[in-house]
Amino acid sequence: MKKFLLVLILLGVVATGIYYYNPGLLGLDAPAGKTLKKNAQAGQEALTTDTSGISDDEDRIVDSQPSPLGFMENMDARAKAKAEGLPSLILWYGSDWMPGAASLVNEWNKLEKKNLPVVMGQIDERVGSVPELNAREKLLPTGAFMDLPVAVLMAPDETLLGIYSGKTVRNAAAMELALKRTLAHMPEYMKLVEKACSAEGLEGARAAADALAMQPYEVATRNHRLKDILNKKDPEHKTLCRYLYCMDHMGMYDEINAVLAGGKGADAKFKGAERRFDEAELFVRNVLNARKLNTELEQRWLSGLAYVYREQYNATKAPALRQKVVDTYRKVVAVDDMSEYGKGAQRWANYWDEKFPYVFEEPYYDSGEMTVGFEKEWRVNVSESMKGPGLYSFSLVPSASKNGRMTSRGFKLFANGKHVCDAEEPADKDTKSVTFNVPRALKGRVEVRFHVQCHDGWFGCAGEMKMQKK
Amino acid sequence: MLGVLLLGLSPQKPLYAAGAEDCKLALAPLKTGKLPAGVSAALEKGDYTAVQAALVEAMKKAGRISYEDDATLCLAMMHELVRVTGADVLTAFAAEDKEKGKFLKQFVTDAEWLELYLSCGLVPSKKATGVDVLYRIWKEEAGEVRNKALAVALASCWGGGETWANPPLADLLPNKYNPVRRYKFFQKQDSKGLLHPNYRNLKPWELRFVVANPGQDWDDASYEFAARAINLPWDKYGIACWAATYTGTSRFGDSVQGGAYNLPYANESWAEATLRNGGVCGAMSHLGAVAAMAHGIPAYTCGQPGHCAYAVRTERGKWIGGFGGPDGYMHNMIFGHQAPTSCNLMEAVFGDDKKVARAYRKSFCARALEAVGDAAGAQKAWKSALKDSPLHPFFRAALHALMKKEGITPKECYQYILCELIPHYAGHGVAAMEARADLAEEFAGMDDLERLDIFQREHQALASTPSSWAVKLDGLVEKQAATLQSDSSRQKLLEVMFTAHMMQGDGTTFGQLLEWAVKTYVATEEGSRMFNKAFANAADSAGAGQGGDDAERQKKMAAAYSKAIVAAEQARSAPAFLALTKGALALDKPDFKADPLQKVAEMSGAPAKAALFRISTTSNWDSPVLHLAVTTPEGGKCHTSKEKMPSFIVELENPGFTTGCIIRKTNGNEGRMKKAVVSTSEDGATWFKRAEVENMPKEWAVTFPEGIRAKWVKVEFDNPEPEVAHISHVVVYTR
Repeated sequence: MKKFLLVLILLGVVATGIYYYNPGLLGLDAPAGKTLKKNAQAGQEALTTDTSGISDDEDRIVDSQPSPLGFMENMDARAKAKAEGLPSLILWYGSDWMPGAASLVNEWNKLEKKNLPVVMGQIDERVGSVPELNAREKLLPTGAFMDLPVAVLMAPDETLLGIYSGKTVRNAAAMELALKRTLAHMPEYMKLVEKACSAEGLEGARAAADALAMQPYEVATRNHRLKDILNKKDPEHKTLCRYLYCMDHMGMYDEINAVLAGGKGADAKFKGAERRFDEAELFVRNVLNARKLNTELEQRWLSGLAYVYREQYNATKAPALRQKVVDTYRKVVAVDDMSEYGKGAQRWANYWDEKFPYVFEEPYYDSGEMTVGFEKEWRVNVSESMKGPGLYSFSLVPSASKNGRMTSRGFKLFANGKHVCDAEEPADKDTKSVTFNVPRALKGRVEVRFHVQCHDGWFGCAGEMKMQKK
Repeated sequence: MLGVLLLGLSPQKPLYAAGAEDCKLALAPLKTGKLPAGVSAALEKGDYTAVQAALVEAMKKAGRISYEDDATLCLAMMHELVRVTGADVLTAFAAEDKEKGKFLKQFVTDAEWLELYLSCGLVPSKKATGVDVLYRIWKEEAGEVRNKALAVALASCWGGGETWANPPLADLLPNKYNPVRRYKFFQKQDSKGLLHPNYRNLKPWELRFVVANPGQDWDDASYEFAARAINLPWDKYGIACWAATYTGTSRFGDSVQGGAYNLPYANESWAEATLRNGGVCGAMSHLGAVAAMAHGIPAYTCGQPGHCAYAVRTERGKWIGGFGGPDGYMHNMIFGHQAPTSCNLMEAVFGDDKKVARAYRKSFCARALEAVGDAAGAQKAWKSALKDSPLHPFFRAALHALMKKEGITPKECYQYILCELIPHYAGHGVAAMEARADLAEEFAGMDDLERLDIFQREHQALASTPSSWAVKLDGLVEKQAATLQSDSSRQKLLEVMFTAHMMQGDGTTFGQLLEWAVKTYVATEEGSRMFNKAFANAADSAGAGQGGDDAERQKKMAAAYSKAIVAAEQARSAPAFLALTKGALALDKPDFKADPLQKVAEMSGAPAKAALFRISTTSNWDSPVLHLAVTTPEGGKCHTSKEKMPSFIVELENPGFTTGCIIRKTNGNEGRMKKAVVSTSEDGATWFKRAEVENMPKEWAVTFPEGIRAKWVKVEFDNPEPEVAHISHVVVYTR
């Protein structure tokens, strides 16, 4: 163990150069080319996870059939790692079916020669082999094993430390760098784990939470050992850390809904506008302020806050709440606009924001563009349909069965952002077809702008938009 | 590479030689001769009504229409295209613009392409959708379509066919669902060697399950995404659905059952949105299927009651289930939506490439003979086609139509059904019953004895058919019963049914038929009498030769009830299970008393009433009549055979908030059951583990987390080696 810690300290020195990008977190590799965004509030860096592990096609060119790696088998490697007090690094791949397997093997043979302080092992999942289901189920988010190859780094006690996929796993240099980054933080992490095990009560719980905080969500959520410690040492939620590290987003919404309704499931007491919105807001804010949060957790609980406002707005229709919803979603985006929370919150903010129009570059509308319960301005790019001055018809043509009730009115024509003319039909008339008398040839970007609302739910309306010269 | 050359070895070949194309025809391509002048002239004009007339004229003139004569066979194929698509439809299509006219002329005179199109299973009927898809691909490929089989599969999927006239294309916006984009995707993946090694051997009918039915499966971008994001050994796509997380609530708190769930990711493909944000059975099954298809592996999604699953074809004829599949209502199909029966029928029809290709050629001739007015010749040609492909439903239907037109008598019909139809349908009983339905009027002219004779053969065929709880037989037996004139005949039908299925099959079909019979007859006193009499007679027949005194008779009846109860469990039929258990207990209540439960005080709530108890396997030590009692605090008795993972499933009468369950082993050999898992489900297919124990105690009280809604609770043992399981209690508690 001492030998191992010494190697880690040395590695820590090596990794100092990348410390700026990755302070204090064990974790997953980031997909190549993706920005590592800093979590401003926490002062900690949440590496964007790469569990989808999407490779580009060029990574997967057709190889001749490779020889498999000569590494130890998974369980043997893990046993050796445990005995020697070293982490194990297991590559999961398929030597007889996986495009790009030969070059992968070459890269991992190169990586082996780097003599990193890990025990290297392999799972060669060939066609017809029995998959290691237990490993699939227990080690990782299942999805991570659905895009082979994947590499898994485990502590000597088999705690999951890192998952490497995508381009990183196929490149020895990238793997080395990613591994060193993770291993550099091992001593700190292991110390916290030790404390979590040894310290009693809330102190132990806080240490477990600190250790979990070092790991990205995808890894921490599978860290059953630390989660068990946290659950046992803080059964009454005094640290609030269980809300952060021992439940997923569904668990969070269950808790929020329980506060809103004054009880869970059959014990719920309040419905609709009677629900306890203030208490729910306070509950969420307390969790948000409980400790420094990484990106994922901060975005999740901010989304929880937006949910409380949304529920309140839907129940009361108080206009100020709508702005609160928008503002909170914009905060989620500000934390990291590239994460799934960030991307989704961007669309939700735009959806709820009265001032934000939907812009259509292609002449089709679908479920995702519908607003339910209020109107939205649509701006449709019709530049390519413009053929000089004259009469033009603009129509919304619903598809055969997604032709739900949709109001559309107030049609106007704009060129390069400037108003050109209104449709000949009255602005307040609900219609799906209008005529524009275009006075002159229009150049640049030409848009038809109008207001739309779907009355049959988000799935109710879809169709095509046609601008034609008469 | 140098080392390899020096050693005189050649490097191993890549999976594919990029750009190479294989011929997809099973038989030698037809030699196309010079077209008759009249046909050529009509083609030049793009007048397909005239083409049709000229073809008929030319075939009449030829004097002989035979699948062995390439020249007339080519004319017959052209005629078939015009017939199935519609002369007016083709004329209008050709008239739309010059390019379309040019394409159509090229297509109808390309015998190889035409044959692929007309024999791919579903041929778009009375509409231009199919030829339009081919035209768009032809245009994309500048007039030289490199993969005609793939183009045909797309045309077939987009256009539908006789059994599926209108695949749900209406809502598909062309910016998201585009056959040309899909064609290019598969060509690109193929050229890079990213598709299953067998992809190139797939015939157009198989490729239909790769390119997918656009109305039910996902957008083009999903294929691109799934191809990159999910990569598994070729035989493992049955688990690909788990690339996504099962979640009923979005990151933003919206339920998956509403449109708001997907709204934040509406700009992503379905596959990407699902993989990144999770979903429930529908989205996850589609993801699994699309992942397989994007790698050139046939797949389909299928609906099940309250659930969606999928299936992946790992080799010809072998479909493996994903997320509770492969059985259910197939969202892509050729001869019917019902898996496994329709799916098995499809595999059987197309199983022999050469035979089915020859049958298709004969079918084109049969249609041509009908067109030239040679009904006798046509009937002969249909029978010849059916000799090669006796199960083909379309050929069979065409023959039946012709037989009816020619005036078949009920007597002849009876003989035909018994001697020429049913004997071919061993293992395809549902198809036999459906094929016979074409002859309903002639069937109506028969007497009850003749009908029962036919029903008996049909049920024998059905009993030999691979069965599934997912196959619904109610409609078919309902029709059988409705044709009979008297109650005694209907009782005989029940007897025929019970006898056939009690003697053969795995019990699932028997269970389903029992469910139908219970629902139909047991509600009234008279019906109940009929049911019991038929059941007793069937039990007697099933145990013939075992003696005839009262005790023996009662023993046989008890054995029949036991078999019927297990069958009802396999068929997941709660009404049949409850009715049969009640009937069996009335006949003979076993003298059995289970040990009382010890841990009731640890449970909250009250014992829930069960509608069904399902055992994974039965055995000689099993007591099906006491299965229902296992779910009650009084206890019962059940005993599996040796299995790696024996299981017991309790289906509650009403879904609700479950608080936990108590499981108790029966006395003796308790050490057999060690590692045990308790799971719950709301849909009967998606299970969530609630508790696990390495060495299960004699009595195990499990408390569930708060707020667990469930209708099913499963207890499963995980044995290192196959072992039996026997318990006296699985009592579920609810609030």
